[in-house]
Formats: sequence, structure tokens, C-alpha cells
Amino acid sequence: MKVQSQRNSKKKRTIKSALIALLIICLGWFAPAAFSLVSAVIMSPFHATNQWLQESSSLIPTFIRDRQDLQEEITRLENELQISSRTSVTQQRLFSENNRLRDLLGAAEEDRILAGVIARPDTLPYDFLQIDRGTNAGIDVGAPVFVGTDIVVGLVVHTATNYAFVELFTTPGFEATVFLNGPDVVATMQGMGGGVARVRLPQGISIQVGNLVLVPSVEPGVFGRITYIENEPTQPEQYGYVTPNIALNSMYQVSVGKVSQISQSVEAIDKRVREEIESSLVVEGVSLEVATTSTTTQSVATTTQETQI
Amino acid sequence: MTLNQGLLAIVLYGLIIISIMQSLLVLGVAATIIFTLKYSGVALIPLAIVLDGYYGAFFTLPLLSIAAVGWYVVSEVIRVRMSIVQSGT
Repeated sequence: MKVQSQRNSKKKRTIKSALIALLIICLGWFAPAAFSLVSAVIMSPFHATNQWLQESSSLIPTFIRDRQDLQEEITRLENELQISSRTSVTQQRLFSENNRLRDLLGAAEEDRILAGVIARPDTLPYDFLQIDRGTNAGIDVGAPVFVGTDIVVGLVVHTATNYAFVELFTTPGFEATVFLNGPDVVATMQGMGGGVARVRLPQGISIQVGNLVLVPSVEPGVFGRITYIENEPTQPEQYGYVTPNIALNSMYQVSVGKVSQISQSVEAIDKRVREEIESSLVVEGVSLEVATTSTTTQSVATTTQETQI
Repeated sequence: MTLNQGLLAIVLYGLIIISIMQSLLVLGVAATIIFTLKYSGVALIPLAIVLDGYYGAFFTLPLLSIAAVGWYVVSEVIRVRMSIVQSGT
């Protein structure tokens, strides 16, 4: 009986304490500023301790902080690794799909010529490269120059028998129409010199650092990424500065494509297609007109000779 | 309560506060459970109210205080059940 009474009183005490606590919480809800002030005063020693742990360069705080930082970094890297592995699988699938579709469509890859870089912008006056292959190796003026598989850096502008000069897209005055991946807009890229090109866009188009810059005239043609954005709201235009993915001084070897890798103008393609259509029904060596013409020509020649004699 | 018990209570109390402020979840939970088992969960309610006030949670919803009240009620219920089982055996 006594135990039961003790339990009941304990239960009542618990309920009473909980109700008082809830009442205080409700009071705090009605006067949050007062509660915050009082709490800040009460917590001041703990606040100081917490600050010490967070900012002090003493042994214990540093140890705790380093451990926490490392733990956070491990978690972040694990997440990145997971995402990266998934992306890698997706990329691999897309790559194989792309190759399969290109094979089906008969888009054969063009041969490239490997060339070593023998002079760079630090020794040449402008954004030029000198490569150790020339016309003897089959390099033509206007051929695109690649670094890696699909990063196009410039065009061949002069060829000799054993060397050639490459004009980089970053050469001052060089202009190219580019496609910005991200905002998905076409813009004009201008070379600025020093390994930097600039894309000029009107205000309101959202460009970000890291947007990929593609050169659609060259297949395949990725130039680089936007590394800096100059955007003044008072100006009508904004500028995105682009650099190649590889530093100019790190270019050791490049590959030179064929001129046919550069897309031709619509007019040129139309003209070529029209020529093909107009000559598509001609079968060589079957036409009677050819035989008649030669016979007539022969007879005319014989008559002329006889007249001369 | 002996001197050692009192010191342990103070250390655990401080540890709970610091672990909450430093976002050390596992340490905070462990210290809270030990404190509740050795002493009582009621002492954690004012701590939770002060922490909610410190972080300005009364301007929105003082979740820590409400959780502390809930924890106190649950711990007392469990404690009563355990004492019934012990007295039954």
C-alpha cells in the first residue's frame, strides 16, 4: 500500500514538473526577447568556452577542430566519390552510345597528325605556337589544332615543309562563333592575348564560372571554360573570360586535324550539293554525244589538214 | 549525494552543453542518457530552456525544451516500470 502511494506521488510529481516546464516554455514563447537575454547572461561562461574551442590555437581546441574538419572532409569526399563514380558510368555509357551512333551514321573519325610544340607564346611575339610538322607531314593552312581528344586551341596559319605556325583562339583580334553550354546561347569570342579570350553577351543572360565554351565550326570542338565574369549592371554588356583547359606553357604535343573538320558555310555546302545533284545522272563513257563529238572533231581536223596541204 | 556524485553531475551537465554547442551529437546523447540514469531528467529541462533561449528558438519553436520535457516524462515512466519489475522479482 505504501509502495503504491509512493508511486502515485512520484507520478503526480512528474506530471506537475512537466506541466510547470511546459508553462515556462509557453512563457518563453510569449517573451522570447527576455528569455534570450537571460539565457545569454547565463550562458556567457559556456559561450566563452565554446569560442575558445572554436578559435583558439591551443592544443586541445586545435585537435578537436582538426578532427572535425577531417571528418567533414572525409564525408564530403565520400559523397563526391559516389557522385563521380555514377557520373563516370553515365559518361562511359554515353560515350559508347555516341560511338555506336556515329558508326551507324557513317561518321568516320578523321586522321590527325601528331606534332610537337617547339615554340610557345613566351618565346613567340603573340599567341602563336610553332609545331615541328609541316606540309611534308600533310599539314594544311586552316587545319584545326587539338590538345587531347576534343579541345581545339587554334588554327594553322602558315606552313613550311618541316614546321608550321598555329594561331591560337586567344590571339588578339581572332574571332570565332562559340556556343556557351549552360545558358545555351551562341556568342562571338574574341581573342584578348596572353592565353585569354573573351565572350561578349548582353545583360540578362545568366553565365557562370565553369560554363563550357564550344566551337561548333570545328568538329569536335571544345575550347575551354569561363573562368571569370565581368558584369557591371550599369553596362549594356557583360563579358565572360575564357581560358583553355590546359595552360599554354604546358602544351607539349598537339594533334593537327584536317581542314575538312572545319564546317563550311551554308552557301558553300549548298553549291557543292547542287553540283552533286546536277552531275548525279551522268554516267561516264556511255554517252553517244561524246563519240559523235570526237568523230566530228576528227573529220574537221582531217579537212583542215587537207586544205593546208 | 556525495561530493563525487555532485562533481560528476556538474561535469556531465557541462559536457552536455558543450557537446550541443559543438554539434557533437553522439557525445551529447551519451552524456544525456548517463545523466538521466544516474540522476534525473528534470534537471535537463532548465538546461534545454536556457539553450533554446541562447539560440533564439523561442522566436520560432523551442524544440529542445519540448524534447527535454518529453524525455523527462519518458525516462520517469521507464524508471517506474523498471522499479515495478524489480519489486515484482
